[in-house]
Amino acid sequence: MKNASSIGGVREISQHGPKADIEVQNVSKRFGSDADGLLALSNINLCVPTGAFATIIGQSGCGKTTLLRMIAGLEPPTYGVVKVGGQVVQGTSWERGMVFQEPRLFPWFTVARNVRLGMPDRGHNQEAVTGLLRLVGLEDFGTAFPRELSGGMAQRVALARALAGSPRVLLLDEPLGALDAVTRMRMQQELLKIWQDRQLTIVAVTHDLDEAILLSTQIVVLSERPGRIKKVIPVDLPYPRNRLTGEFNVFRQELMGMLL
Amino acid sequence: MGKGKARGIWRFLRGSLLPLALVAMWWLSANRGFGTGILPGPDDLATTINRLVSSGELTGHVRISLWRIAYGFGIAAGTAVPLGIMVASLPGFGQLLLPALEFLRQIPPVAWIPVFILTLGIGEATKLAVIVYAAFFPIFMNTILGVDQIDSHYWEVAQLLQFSRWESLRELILPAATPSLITGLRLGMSNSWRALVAAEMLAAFSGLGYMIMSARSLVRMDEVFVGIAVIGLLGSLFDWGWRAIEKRLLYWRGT
Repeated sequence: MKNASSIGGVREISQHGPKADIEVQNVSKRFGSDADGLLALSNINLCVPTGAFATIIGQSGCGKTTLLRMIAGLEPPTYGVVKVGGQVVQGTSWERGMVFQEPRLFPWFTVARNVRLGMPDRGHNQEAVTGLLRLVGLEDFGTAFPRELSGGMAQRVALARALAGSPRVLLLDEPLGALDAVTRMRMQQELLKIWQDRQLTIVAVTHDLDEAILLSTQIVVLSERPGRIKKVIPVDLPYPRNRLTGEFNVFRQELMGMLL
Repeated sequence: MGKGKARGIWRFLRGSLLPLALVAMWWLSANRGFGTGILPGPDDLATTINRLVSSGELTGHVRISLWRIAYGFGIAAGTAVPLGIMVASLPGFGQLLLPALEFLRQIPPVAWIPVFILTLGIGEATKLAVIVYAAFFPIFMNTILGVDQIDSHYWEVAQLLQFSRWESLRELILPAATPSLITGLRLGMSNSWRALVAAEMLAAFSGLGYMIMSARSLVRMDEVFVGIAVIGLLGSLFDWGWRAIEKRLLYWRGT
């Protein structure tokens, strides 16, 4: 098994697993009636190849979350289609897991039961549940209730629940947004490791430029509302990446130039 | 923990102050010749209770009233909860039912007693109908409220996790609506308890309400007061029971 530091070859990994290319074709999204509805996204065309880690950045209200929700199948596009692995997305599916800004755990169930519900067979395999909790560093918290967890812990449970369905695509809507700086950096590392170990295709919304450069193979920059794709920036730095290097700064400058 | 216990004792003592003061005033007024012969004192009640219990009269009436409540409340809960969930989750169903139910909800169950007697007779059916009627609406309305209040965030999770209808009910709707459900059941029970006593006063030959009415016609005010006291006590006991159930079922919310 490859360890975290040897991952330069995302494309190599992607050859093995089943195809999970995400294609967004001519997608627009309007909320409300056609006449005076709010146009959230306008004519989006985007391709995220299998095994890639794409981040979407842009100002708040530019439709980042809406785009992610359409890929998840929680919302239909007004125009255009979203395809995953060649199939048109219609509704949610086990192949696409999602973590929201909030953990959204069921507060009336224990941590373990929340994770179990994330499995297609609802967790008949107890070891798999334990394994997932271990993966996110919470094997001792299976019997705890969500209210007993810190924000970072709850968000890790939400991640474990999303992974429990063995998705090929993981969608992340600013899941680290509410965390403190240190917890956030730790979870970024965990996320990279999970992405590499599980050969996932990830699309993440973030407003943190450094996070986007640190994690992703491509950065999708959206314009202000109605959101259009301003630019897709491939990030070809080897992992693990270092925020303090000159190359990192080049990307930072480019992004800041586009957003400010 | 010791601190919490001490606070509990203090709360109990403070809560007992007013009842004790009232009983003392009652005792004073009854023994100072204030309406003597009509208004019994608390000490008279003790002997009356003793007599009624040992003759089996009181326990018999209590048993039959409790049986009616259990039966009627069971029917009400068994219909109001599923119906409430259906109305809350199927908009068409709600549009069909709600106007009629809204009308019926405004009518106190006792007002139906003449109609029930005419159609159902003077037997148990009339009393059960009154209880069911009284308990139904609080349970029904609170069930709808509980289901309506479920955060849409959770519904999206249910969608992502491919919940079946049955799973949505068991894993999401019922647990999420439990606080509201318990409120409804609690209100429904106290409503039906009060309605039952009224029904027993008007159309029964047994039960606590009947006991009060027959004591009244014999001018046995002591028995009237015993009936009132027992009704109040049992009602409080139900409420206390619901609070205990609530605490147990909602432990996930913390304190």
